[in-house]
Amino acid sequence: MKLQRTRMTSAKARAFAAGLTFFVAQVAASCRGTQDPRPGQSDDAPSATDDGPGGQMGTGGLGQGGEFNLGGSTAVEVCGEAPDTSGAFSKKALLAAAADCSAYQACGFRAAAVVLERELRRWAADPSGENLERARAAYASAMNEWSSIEGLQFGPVADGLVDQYHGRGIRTKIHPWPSTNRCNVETQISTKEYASADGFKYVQPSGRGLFAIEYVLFTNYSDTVCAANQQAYADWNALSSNDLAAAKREYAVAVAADLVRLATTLVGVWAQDGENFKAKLLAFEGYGSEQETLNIVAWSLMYPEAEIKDWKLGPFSTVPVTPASIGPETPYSLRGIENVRINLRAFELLFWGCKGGEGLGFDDWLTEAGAEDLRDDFRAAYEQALLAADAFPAMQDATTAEFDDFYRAIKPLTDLLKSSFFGSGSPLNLKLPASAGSDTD
Amino acid sequence: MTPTESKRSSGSAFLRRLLEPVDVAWLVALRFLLGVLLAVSMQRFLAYGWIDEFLVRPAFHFKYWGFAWVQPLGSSAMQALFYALLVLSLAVAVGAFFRATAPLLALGLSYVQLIDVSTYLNHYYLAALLLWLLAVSPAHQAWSVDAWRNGQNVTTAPRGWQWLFRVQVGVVYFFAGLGKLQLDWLQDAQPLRIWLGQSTALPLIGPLLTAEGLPLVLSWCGLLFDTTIVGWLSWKRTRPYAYFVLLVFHLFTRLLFDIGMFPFIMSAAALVFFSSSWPRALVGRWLEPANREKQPRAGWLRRLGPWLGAVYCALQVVLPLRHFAYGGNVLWHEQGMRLSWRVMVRAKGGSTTFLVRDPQTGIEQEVSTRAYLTPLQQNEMAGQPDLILQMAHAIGADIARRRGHTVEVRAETRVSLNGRRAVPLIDPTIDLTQVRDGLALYSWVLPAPTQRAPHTRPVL
Repeated sequence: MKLQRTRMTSAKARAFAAGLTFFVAQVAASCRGTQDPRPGQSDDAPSATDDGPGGQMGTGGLGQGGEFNLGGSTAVEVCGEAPDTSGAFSKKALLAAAADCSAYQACGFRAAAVVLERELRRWAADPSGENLERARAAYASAMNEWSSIEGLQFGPVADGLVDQYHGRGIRTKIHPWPSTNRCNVETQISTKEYASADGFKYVQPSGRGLFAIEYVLFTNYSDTVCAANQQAYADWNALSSNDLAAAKREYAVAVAADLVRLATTLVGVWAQDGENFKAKLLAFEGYGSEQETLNIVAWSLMYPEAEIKDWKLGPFSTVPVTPASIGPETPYSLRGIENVRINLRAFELLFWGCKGGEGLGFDDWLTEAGAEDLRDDFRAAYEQALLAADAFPAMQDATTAEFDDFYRAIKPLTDLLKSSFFGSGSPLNLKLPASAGSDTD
Repeated sequence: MTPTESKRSSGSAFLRRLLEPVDVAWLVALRFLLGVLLAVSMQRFLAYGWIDEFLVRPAFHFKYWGFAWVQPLGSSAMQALFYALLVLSLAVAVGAFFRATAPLLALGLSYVQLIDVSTYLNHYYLAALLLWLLAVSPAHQAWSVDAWRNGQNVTTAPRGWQWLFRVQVGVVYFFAGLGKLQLDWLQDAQPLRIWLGQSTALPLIGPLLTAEGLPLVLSWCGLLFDTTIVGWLSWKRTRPYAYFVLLVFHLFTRLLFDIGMFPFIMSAAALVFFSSSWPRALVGRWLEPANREKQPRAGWLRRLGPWLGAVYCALQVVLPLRHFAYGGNVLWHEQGMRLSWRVMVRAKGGSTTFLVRDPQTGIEQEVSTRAYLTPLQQNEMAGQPDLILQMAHAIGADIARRRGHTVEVRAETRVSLNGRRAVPLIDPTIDLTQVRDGLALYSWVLPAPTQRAPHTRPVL
């Protein structure tokens, strides 16, 4: 079955942003706190018409797209259609498909990051409500793009704990969740350490990336959560409200520029005239064997188990006795369910194929290996999870019972992953994450 | 001569033959090879970070029945222990202070294995057994630091030692072969079909592994090898050829599977089937000729030794057969699986969800094992009922302690055996906190799946 495309067009993104903005405006007055996206527990957010105090950026200007000639504003316009990875199955061809898909997604994110930087500069130069809305839409688009890459964490984008051979942690600098820290964002805003000659070199991931931009775009805090004995606290309180607003916008622009840089690095990872990581993948360079390379690539498929089920849904569900103590992924923009829907569809990219579920994927490996039953079980479990995600309300509107139902709806998929796709029972001999290094007999 | 006298006479002849002195060279070679291989094993633990990962870091340890009191040391102490075991291994290899170093090494190795059931491997178990046998043998009395220190090189040892080691090595191969006498292996070539798939990228042989009939051919070859190799090694005329086949077999298993030191340990241990003087063919010019004089032994040990050896051998035969007492599919219920040399005969994994029901509120919730177990432990537990039971008890106790009252714990399991669709392993209606572990039949384990193992294929 062909599944819905993951990439949002600019029109959809604008419509989405408008809806989101409306929602944010509705809840802005009554919501405080960053740990729970449900009503009554969220943070203050500026309304769409709140153009805030003035403040001019010293650098950049409207329409800047960095050093790239993108030739368009949306990912599809810039990167074209998703790669056609169809063809005869081999494990090498599967790795190649995963690489091509990652390269395509990286391109999409860079395009979105460039637009995001451009819109933030526009807003920083003219902090009108309209420009804020445009910047928020650009953020939503970038977040959409990134939510797909969340399901493709192997190679340099991954953390070292995920890909111990090539992981360079690019992902964490772009999207630090679940290790986000509001104080670290406020520290940068108030102290402007990021503006030093070292740039973002010493800026903690928890205070940068998409989280920092979300903070600036969707909150209007006048106080800081940093402790009174921290320098940031004094610096923050020394700023006038106008200066504080300007400092926030300035930081958002700088973070966006850093995102473009990181996205460009990511594109370079896959570029044939760059790092050409695809060639390394196909040569199992560093991984030692084809099977270990496939293990690492396949581990991205575990995203629904830990990140979605346990971290994004678990804390709001009564199903787990001890839910993970992890804050929501996008606490200020309140777009948690959108992320989850795209995360699930990113599972499809790797499992069924990069082009709307077509092309080479792990399903083809199951077919070739004679495990058609398992492939079909995956289809059924995935569609059940996707249906539940699509029917799920905005997380802040969802009841605990709805969280419980969603949690249970996604569990058959994650159980299949653990019982039959990975581990000692895997017909593909795929090892579970962090268990690949032991002997057997 | 009466029948009783005849039996007594043949028994005496057998005892005399057991105590007959033979060249000790084979035992010295075994001591050296085993010491070196164990030193390499210890080094692997140190180099790969397995000490912390498998033994120290887990918040919960699965215990062997009767050994719940065994606890791991702290990280630094465990590291130090492995360095000590490495040194002890080398000391055993050169026969230095053997009467102290060999038992200490055996004890240390046994301790490490008893820390956590989820780290059980047949070859660790074999290494410990060989080491305990070695520790009480006269392996240090020749070509050793001890012999040099004492100025006395005893060049013979009773033949019974060689027979004892042959039995030990023989049961490993034979029962590994018997473990393959089941339909998954013989009819469907499972789990070999699954495992061969990980090696299709190997140069030259990789593509061959995808040939349709090859897994079945290899399955049968594995069965024939395991069940007959002891015979071929025991027959003098076929011994060299059999050992060559053995080396090729273990080389391939090393190449195709993540099987660690097992092939090396077995290749070294199988040398006990050669004549007692075999090392002299290699290093004869450096060795003092064997003196055929009987060695003086303590009287009580001389009388008791053969009986102790007989009991040991009987135990080694009975342990792998104990699963018959339980019936059913041992690969599924696992009662009689460990300590029985069922090497590489099951690909079994699954997911386990523990459900806790609070009798006071009636609310049922899930418990993630991630807080208690490492990924490796979770993987091992998923297919082993007694480990699931241990985890259920631990969860029940933990939550009862936090809530101040007892709770019920059930397990929803989905387990795949040799590529089959995952099915429940544990009866999900049973409150596992009320089940005691022991040697009785696990009535709370559901019957094994009866459908044939799937015809999976290694893929290029």
